[in-house]
Amino acid sequence: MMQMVVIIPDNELRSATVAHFAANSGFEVWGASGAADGLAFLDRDGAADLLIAEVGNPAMDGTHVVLQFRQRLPSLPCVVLASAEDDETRRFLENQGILRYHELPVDSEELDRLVNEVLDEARSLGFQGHLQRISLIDVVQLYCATGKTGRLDILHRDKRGAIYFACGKLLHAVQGELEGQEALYRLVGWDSGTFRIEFGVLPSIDTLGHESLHALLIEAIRRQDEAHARRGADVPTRVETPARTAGRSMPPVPPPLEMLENEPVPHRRLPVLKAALVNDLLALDGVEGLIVVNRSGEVLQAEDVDETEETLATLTTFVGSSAEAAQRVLGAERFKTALIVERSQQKLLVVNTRNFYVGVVAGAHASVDGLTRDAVACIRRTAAGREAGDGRRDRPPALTAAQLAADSGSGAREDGDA
Amino acid sequence: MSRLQDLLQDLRIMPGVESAFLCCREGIIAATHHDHERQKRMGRVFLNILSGAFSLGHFVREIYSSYDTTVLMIRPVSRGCILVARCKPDVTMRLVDISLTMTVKSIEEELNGMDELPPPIERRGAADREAGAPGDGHLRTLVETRTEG
Repeated sequence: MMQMVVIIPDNELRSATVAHFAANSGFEVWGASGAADGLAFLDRDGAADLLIAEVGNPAMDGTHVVLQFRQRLPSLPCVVLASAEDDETRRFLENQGILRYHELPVDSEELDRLVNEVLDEARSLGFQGHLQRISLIDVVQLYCATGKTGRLDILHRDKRGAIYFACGKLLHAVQGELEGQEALYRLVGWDSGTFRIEFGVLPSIDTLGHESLHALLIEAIRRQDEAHARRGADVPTRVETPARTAGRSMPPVPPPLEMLENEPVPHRRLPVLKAALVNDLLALDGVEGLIVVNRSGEVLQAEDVDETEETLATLTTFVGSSAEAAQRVLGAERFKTALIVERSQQKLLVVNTRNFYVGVVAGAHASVDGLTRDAVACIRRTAAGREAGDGRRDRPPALTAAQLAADSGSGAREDGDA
Repeated sequence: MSRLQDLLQDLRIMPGVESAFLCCREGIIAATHHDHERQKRMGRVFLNILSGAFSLGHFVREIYSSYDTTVLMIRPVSRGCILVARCKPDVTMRLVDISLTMTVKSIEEELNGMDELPPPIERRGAADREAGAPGDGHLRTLVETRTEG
């Protein structure tokens, strides 16, 4: 599919240059007659891969045109052409994330070079890919598990859609007239097309925030399978992706529908800690179980804490968020761990990571000194193992190990003993 | 009051212990350093943790909260107070633990012997000034002298 370049010329950018560029470049070009025309095109078509605007437009100043475009498409790469060097405008546009500010005059060849450079640069800034190579469910899962905030733009044939996520939660999905769950299910059903991530973008409404991520994904998978079955596909499950075959912590192939209906959703929880790390932590002296919760208190993983899971999740989140509140009082210091010792000598160690809290439950005979040190050292060891295996294609994603080590294992106290 | 102050100062003799304060819901009752606003806010956070944990059925004996360059050791004391010791990250926990246990015991004895809890330090200054007593300024001088000494 050809990329769409919208050009809004003014006095100096000659129509001949634009016409020559349109004829000879490998892009689809929309030469707008003015700012209003350009915006109308965007509203009507909703698609643009690059904007070229000349500063000094009489009806609407070029910088404002660019900002209006960016409001509609925040990730849109832009080139601003100016007849004279203006440091103030340049600084202003650079602060807005505008990719290129170029002085006029410019000929069609230079314009072609500029456009290619900017598009390459834009590609390197965001993450994008093809749905034939990785499924949208995997992408959503990856970004939610890592607690990222942003918008996933999906392009499938001539249709567009977007999924918004923030701090590990799905917030909103939109596809044409559809919004919320229906839009999400429609989007994850697309098995071809391209996607692109724009970080730091939040939706204006929240249609999915109250739903459990896992429940949404399971329902999406179920619908996908139904669609496959209807189309007479041989395999009623999801497409195997390289990521899944490499042993990453992706959800297993879903069981038949009748089993899914009877199965409680929590059992479909996707593990966020690697099995090796979980085993190491559980093998520590006195450790009885562990729980991983996100900042909202949602349980992401629980090991050997079945009966007390709910209370433990609440306590872990509560202790973690309270200790972070104390961190703000302390100033710039970062909360790493909190160990609670009960009168019964039961212990709960809360380890803070970038995206979630890990609660390690230990019995009476676990040593106060040793528990924090050993748990953090254990996490660091796992991370070190991952680093040693760096470069292997099948290495574990170890997002938690790396983050945990980075976030909680660098303290002087732990360093000495690790 | 000076007895509580003395107990906290004694705690500071332990290597790695930087400061300590005794906090109740109303504010700081005794402290080795004059940073009461921050101490009060910090104290409230940990009092909250204790009551939150209690409401979930957990009776907390102690909390160790570790930050980049600080370890906070928190002990509930009788009459709804907590003792917070701010330590260096390389502190020998077990050593401070023993001292804390002893200090908590002495503080509890002291508090239990009182008819009512002493007013928070910041209010005490105003009350003392009204009564013509040396008040907070005197306390600050005393603490600073001891700290330097």
